[in-house]
Amino acid sequence: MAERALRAVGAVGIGLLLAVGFTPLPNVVSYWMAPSRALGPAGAIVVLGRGGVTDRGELNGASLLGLMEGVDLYRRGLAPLLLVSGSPFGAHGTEVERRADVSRECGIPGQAVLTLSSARTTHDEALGARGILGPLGVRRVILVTDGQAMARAMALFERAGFDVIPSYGTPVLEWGGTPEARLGVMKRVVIEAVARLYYRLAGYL
Amino acid sequence: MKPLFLLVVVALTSMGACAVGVRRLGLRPDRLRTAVASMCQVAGVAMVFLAVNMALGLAAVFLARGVLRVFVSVYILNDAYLPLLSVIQAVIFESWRGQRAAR
Repeated sequence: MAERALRAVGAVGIGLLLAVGFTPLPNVVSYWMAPSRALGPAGAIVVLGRGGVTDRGELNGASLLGLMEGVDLYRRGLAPLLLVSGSPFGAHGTEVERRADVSRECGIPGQAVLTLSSARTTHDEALGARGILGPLGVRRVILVTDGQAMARAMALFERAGFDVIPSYGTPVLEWGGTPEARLGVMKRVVIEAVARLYYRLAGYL
Repeated sequence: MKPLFLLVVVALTSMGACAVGVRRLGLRPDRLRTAVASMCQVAGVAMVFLAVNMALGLAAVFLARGVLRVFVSVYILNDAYLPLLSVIQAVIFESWRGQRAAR
């Protein structure tokens, strides 16, 4: 009986693994999870923490990618302020410090770059952003994070009193991708589903 | 194109393995179904190991946060090696169980 159940679980798991790698299932699920809103002017661009720094104190790929998206939005004139967040850990500088440095190196004026260094979760980031941007009268923000995490982050920022626009505006359904890339997308979808469940149980959403 | 190419390569080597198994090693084709079922069983055990590993890891993270007041990110569990190690656990466990059945 137990063996039959294990075989059924295994067969479903293998079937899912093949469906994830060799069909557009992850693309469709990811597209379905991503909220949509027209991209427009806002009071600030908020780049959420993602990935942290390497042992040498350099931004890792995901962190740099998120920051560059924020810098690009700033350069397009969509907001006068760029609030960067990130992991507060790092022996040779933190993610926030490096992101602020890189933003200035990209030509953004120092007074336009704000930092949020105390947040360790998305929930902390929403509350921290309210503490920094609230007194400046900022109500509408453009949020930069992973497409899969956007819905949860948007809900948290809206609960913190912001009107939120996702950095990508309207999501685009992409059908392509290698099996490995699709597996990566599905991994982020599953992580996000678990995170949403946790945030609901914790009363954050 | 790449997914299709990978599938074609795997299909060709699978057919080659079938041919070698039947012609050189004298394996019975009707036993292939049993082999697939055994593989599904190992995969099922691997998924159970993965679920238990994840649950234990999450419990440890929240214990550290709640009791020890030390912040540990849940992303510590976000590593490709956890499913791989779960598969290794499952293969070892199933071959151990198989030895008991053979006795």
